[in-house]
Amino acid sequence: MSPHRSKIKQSDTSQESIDDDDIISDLPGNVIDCILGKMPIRDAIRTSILSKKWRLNYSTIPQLVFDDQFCKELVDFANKKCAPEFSEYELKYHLEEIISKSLMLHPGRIEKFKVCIPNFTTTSVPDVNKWILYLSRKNIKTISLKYMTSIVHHKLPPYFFSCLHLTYLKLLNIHISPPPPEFKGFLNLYKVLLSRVHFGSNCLESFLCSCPVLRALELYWCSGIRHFNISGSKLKKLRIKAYDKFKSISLENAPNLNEVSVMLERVVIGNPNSDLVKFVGSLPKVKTIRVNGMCLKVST
Amino acid sequence: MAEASSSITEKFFLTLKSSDGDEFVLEESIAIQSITIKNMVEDGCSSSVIPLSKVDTETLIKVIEYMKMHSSTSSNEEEIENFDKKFVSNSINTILNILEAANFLDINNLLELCAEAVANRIKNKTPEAVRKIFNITSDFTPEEEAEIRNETPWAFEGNLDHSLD
Repeated sequence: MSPHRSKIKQSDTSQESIDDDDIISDLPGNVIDCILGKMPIRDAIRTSILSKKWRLNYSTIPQLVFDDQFCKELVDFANKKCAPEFSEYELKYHLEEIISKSLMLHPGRIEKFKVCIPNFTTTSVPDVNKWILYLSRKNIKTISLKYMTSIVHHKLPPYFFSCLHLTYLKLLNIHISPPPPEFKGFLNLYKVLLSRVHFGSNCLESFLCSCPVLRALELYWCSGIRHFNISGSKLKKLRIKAYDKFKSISLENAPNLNEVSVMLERVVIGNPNSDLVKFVGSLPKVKTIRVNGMCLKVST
Repeated sequence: MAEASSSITEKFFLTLKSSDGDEFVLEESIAIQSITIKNMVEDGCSSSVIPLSKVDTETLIKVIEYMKMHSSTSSNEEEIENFDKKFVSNSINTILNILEAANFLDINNLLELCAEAVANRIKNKTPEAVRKIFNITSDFTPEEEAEIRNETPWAFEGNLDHSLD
């Protein structure tokens, strides 16, 4: 606040004394949610001590974000408290407790759930499944779940397929199993980013078939894919980075693609395993195709 | 000049009235960035003055400034960006008033912009500093405060900023 302002505050005329009023605490709940949603969760939680009105404000934020920064701060905290060293078990316990509590005590709607499990974890975090079960009942829209360590491939529980309101999905080091037979599809899912995701029983194809409005798909270093059978009538943007362990890429069933980028571990040209060049002509709407950074096609 | 008559689309104007009784005439295409006003226009209230009983003159002037800059016809992206940057440097009380108005008028971009500006004044600050910035009076006893800190000790640790900037 500028010195000029504080001067005004001292003159106690009725007009200007408004500066001394608390005009934030009585803002409508949705506005407070919006403010608190724009800061890291640690800062939001700290508002619980401001006054009684603020006591539980943080608990209704529709976005729950426990990202890299959160983990770093948690590790810093643990380092300080449990000096000289803390165990992986303790940290994991803290992490699980904090996230589980925030979820279970959340009274309202949750739109976004973002968790980054730090690389001190060398085993799966079992609570993740509980979180997903809970989120599936909260009509969750955005899920971002990242295991930073590649030692773990956390297997998503079947009720992941009950998160029917999903619009955005981002996963790292996760194992996806085929959807259960009663699964009706992610009818609103428009963006999917999967890194080092393993598809059990080659289920990429059935997964894509269950996302009818998918517009953007990014697959980085995923496994369990023999054929990249990319399908989707709404799909516009596709990025693939892959090892050479697959047989083919087929884009015929995604006729509206207009931006395709494929990055392979080794240079493609002359690689008998993949018939990459074949699909270039088969896409009427494609504007750019890049393979390992080289532009194969740019239409006007 | 025949300039006005040559324009293909006719311009409609609305009159907005602040809680202080001041009236502002604004092009309809600019004013309907506010969903609240848009709904009123669609309901046929646009012929008369639109009373905005929850928005005072000072705030309404700012809101109109913002809507003019953000209307699709004028201004390029860089101009808008610079405008927004300057806009959020208003005093925190002004920002809070605009925030409340943006919520009432249902102007989502403006709400997000101001919410972010408020959030930036809370981020990384000690609770004591936040209380001072926003004139919040604590009604907790020291024991209750200790209890809250104990619930989530990790949220209260680290290098927090004491300043009121």
